[in-house]
Amino acid sequence: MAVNFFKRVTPSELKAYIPFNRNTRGTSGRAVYINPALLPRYIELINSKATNQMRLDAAIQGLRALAGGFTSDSNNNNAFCHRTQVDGVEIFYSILQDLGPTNKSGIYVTDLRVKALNGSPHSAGLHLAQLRQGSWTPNPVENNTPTTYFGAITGGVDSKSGDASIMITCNSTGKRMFKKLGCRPVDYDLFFTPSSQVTTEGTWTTATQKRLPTGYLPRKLADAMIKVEKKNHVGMIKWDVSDQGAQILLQALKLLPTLGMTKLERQSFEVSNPYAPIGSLKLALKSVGYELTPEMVNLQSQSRGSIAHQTHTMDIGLAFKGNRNSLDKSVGIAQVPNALNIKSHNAIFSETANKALKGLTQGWS
Amino acid sequence: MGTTRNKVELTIPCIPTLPINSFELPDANLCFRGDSSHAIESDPDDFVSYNIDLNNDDYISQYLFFNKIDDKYFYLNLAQIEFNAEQLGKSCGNFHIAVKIVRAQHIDGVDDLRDKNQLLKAQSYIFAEEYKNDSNVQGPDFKFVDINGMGYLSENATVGKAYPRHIFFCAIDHRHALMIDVTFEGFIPMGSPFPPDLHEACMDVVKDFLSHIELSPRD
Repeated sequence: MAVNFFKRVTPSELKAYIPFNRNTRGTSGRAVYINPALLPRYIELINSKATNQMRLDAAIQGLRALAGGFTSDSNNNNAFCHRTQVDGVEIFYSILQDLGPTNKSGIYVTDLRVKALNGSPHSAGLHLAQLRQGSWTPNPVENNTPTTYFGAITGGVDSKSGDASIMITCNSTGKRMFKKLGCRPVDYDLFFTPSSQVTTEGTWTTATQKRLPTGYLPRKLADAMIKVEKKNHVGMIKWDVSDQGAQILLQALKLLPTLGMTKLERQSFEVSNPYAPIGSLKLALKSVGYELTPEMVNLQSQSRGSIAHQTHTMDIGLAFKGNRNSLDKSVGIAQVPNALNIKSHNAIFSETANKALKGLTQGWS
Repeated sequence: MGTTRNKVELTIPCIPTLPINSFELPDANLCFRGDSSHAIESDPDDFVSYNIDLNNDDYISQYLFFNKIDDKYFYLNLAQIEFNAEQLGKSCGNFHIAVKIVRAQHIDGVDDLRDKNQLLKAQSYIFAEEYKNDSNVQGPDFKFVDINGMGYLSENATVGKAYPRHIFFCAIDHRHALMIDVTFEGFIPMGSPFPPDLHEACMDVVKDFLSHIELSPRD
């Protein structure tokens, strides 16, 4: 599937784009606008090992002079779509020249993604993490059927080169999970969801960056969950869902009813620092007969990426009893402005992000 | 007429320029190169401190989250290092190296790991215990190798279609051995057979890493 700017971004969405910072309003060089819905992704990325705020800001600001130039990648199927990289992050943008009276010409940043590593795309999917001689090592499962009582769905720990490494993820997830459970560690099933597979992909493939087709991972996860329910598995499995894994689970849960599975009876879930709205997860789980209670959700103040995903979306209140205000009072979350009120205040993206970051840091007790 | 093969050449960061890790062990000072800051930062409780007293059971028990002090053997983590390999200027895979100490105690017939035969006996026992349920383990293929004056016992710990894993042991004192646990990740799609030429090139990198490990007796 080709990435088509005009299919992905409608003219009405284009109006919502805001200037990236005060230097990119078009007075010096070309104007650079960014989709305000990228705010949680931006906060997630600058709090990861993939890059830091100063370098990401400089790269986006630099597009006013460098966009579409020698150092940028271009989409084979669409002359408007370009991509550039900074550390472990890819910046996707479109250059629009003449949009009529309603929109301004300039650079439109449409997406920010973690760069795919050479190793990770091959290793996405279900693995048996085997604890041998003090370390867990992943072993791919050919029939896509979990075989243990413990499972983890995670995008893993990001490395300095951007995307997560399955080796580090396998070990750190095992340690975290069994420490939390307080039991002696054993083998477990790891459903690895590196972040490069989370969002839809286009034709941006190079020899070292082969990627999987859209929807591949959610379909694989849905298939694994159905196999557990059909008693191919020894018994109950407890899934530990964290970071990008929550996005894949959310998509997989939406697929389950269409695949004939309307009730999950042999699987339980615990969610830690999800990069997806808890409210949406709760609703999706409810549709397959599973009740996600607040005790099953663990949000840590260090995971600012996760908090930004929660506060940015309107439906967080659904996950908890009471409304948004009571949630804020109970856990002290500072509000991150959502896309609508960013636009209504004619905000600048980087300044809004800084305010949000300050709020996320100070708002937690 | 024989055919000539081009040797696979991997480019890695210059090991002598990597940050140095040093540990004061009871009888020796241990130094090795590699950046372990990322792993230690994400899970600081999991790694032992630089001046570990290996024979003080009360002191080291704080690092044994998943083991008991009276187990027949257990592991202590010193560092977890990752570095990237390049071929012809492009990233082609990662080396994951876990540096640990294994204590072998209460194993029948083993009371001094400095004796090569006892080191082999201890690791054979541990290997049999750990991999008793794995019918598809490739190893152990135990071999004694000498690298830069240090004698290592090497073991192939690859299971099934997982990434290749090799472990090297070197005795520190009567019941402790240094353990260098190496995995080659991302060079080829997971589950594919590892090409012998590439394996050879990866092992050369590992030998280079091992040759920069120093275990010098303390005064």
